[in-house]
Amino acid sequence: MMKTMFFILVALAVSFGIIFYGEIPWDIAWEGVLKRLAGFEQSWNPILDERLPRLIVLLCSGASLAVAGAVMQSLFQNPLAAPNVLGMSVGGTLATIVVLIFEWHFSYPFVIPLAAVGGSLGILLLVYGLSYRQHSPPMVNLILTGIAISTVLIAAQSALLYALREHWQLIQTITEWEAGSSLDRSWAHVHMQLPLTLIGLWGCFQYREEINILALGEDEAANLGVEVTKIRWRLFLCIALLTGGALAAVGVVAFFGLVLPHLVRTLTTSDNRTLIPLCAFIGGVTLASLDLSLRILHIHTFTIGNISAVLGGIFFLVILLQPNRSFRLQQG
Amino acid sequence: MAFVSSYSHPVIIQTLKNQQIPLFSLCDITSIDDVSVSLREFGELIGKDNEAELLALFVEAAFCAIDNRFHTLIAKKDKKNVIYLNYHSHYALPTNRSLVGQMVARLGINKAFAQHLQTAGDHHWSLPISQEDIVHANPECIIISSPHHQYLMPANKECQFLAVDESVQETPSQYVALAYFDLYNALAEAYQQ
Repeated sequence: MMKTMFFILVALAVSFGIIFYGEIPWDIAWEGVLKRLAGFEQSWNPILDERLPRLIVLLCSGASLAVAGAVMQSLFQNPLAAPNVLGMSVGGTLATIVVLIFEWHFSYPFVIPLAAVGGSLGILLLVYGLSYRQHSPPMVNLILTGIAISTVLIAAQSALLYALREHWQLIQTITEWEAGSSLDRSWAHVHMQLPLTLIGLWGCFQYREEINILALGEDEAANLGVEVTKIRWRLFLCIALLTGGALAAVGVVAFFGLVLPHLVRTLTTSDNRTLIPLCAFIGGVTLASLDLSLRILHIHTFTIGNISAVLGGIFFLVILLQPNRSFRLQQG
Repeated sequence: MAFVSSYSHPVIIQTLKNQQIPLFSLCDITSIDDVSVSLREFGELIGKDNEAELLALFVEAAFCAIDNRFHTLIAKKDKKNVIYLNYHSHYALPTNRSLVGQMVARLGINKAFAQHLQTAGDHHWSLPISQEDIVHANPECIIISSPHHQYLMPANKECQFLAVDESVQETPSQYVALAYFDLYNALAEAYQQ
């Protein structure tokens, strides 16, 4: 009960902080909100047109990455599993970089989320198609195929950026996007991401019990009546939507999907019926609080992507170096 | 002879050394004066002292002439709140660490962001800013340096929106005089409105 109250208070504090902290004093901004809601003026308002969309984007992105990581770790029964294991993150990143290179996003703003989700789904289909040609256990095949495809895509991305190294403006744009940022997020980003997040989260929530059973192993799950192939495919689709949506909205936020589920398990439970909603809640609040901290401290050297990678790596090291560590992926 | 920079690839430098090609390094251009210094050094090294001196003097004279024209332009007018922004994936302010930041400061642009720039110090080449920061600055004119300026629409729809060529603005060479002239032209247009 105390933990729940604490999490709720932190969430409220972070949300209010993002809504009310900014260059324009909150009383002036709030007055503008009231006038706009009353229909007296339609001019740009910092709360309605920047801070609120940014809050929604951060909550959705944090929730998406955390839930995607939790589901992956349960499905693969591996504490190191994350959305990038099957190459979905890299596929979405590469597709988005291609869009940035050809500057399609200026003419068609929604091409970035399409590329991010399309890249994630395309790689998922490719990994699935290639892994089912083998005769080894399917999950092992999926991991190995995913790692192989990821390696190829990362090499392709590196070659592309090297070939374009003379175009420093383009390299700067790609570098800024890859670093992950919540700057200038608007309702267009919310429209891009929110449907993907809602569908992905809904799918993961629907199959929480099945994920618990799948965490015991595929054979056990099949014996218990779970339609393993069908549900696994649907969950991977949800993960692709969540990963692609987060990529489209804030760029690359590394380590979040890997570390945050472990943080939530450490604080609460490994039961996916509770873990998945908690990951969504805590993931969203954590990413939002990272962003708010950077703004309040006027830290411009790092972005939320950089900070989450550094903090996530440190947290993971702390877990690994604990003497009696255990990665509980199953209930009990 | 070959000219290398402080950030040249060590393998390239070693290859040139192995070929026994004389290597020279010019100073890193961190200020407008460094452009003239580098031109003079370069001219001395290649035996074209007079030409290099002439070019350096031309750059310095161009800056003085533009400064005079600018002060004449604003002498009898109210000072306008003008800001200069870069754009790649988001808007950014050039700091005093960059040449364009020094030129912008010299022309009295971005005064509305003086506090931001002072807080950031000299650690960054540019400072990301949000739409809210731009609206709060309440500029009368925004000069944007981006190849995609035609697609950009800051929140201050009422203010004047002018574009300059980014490739000229960011060049650390004698073309910095042209960059300064482009900035002056944008300001002149802003003051004529």
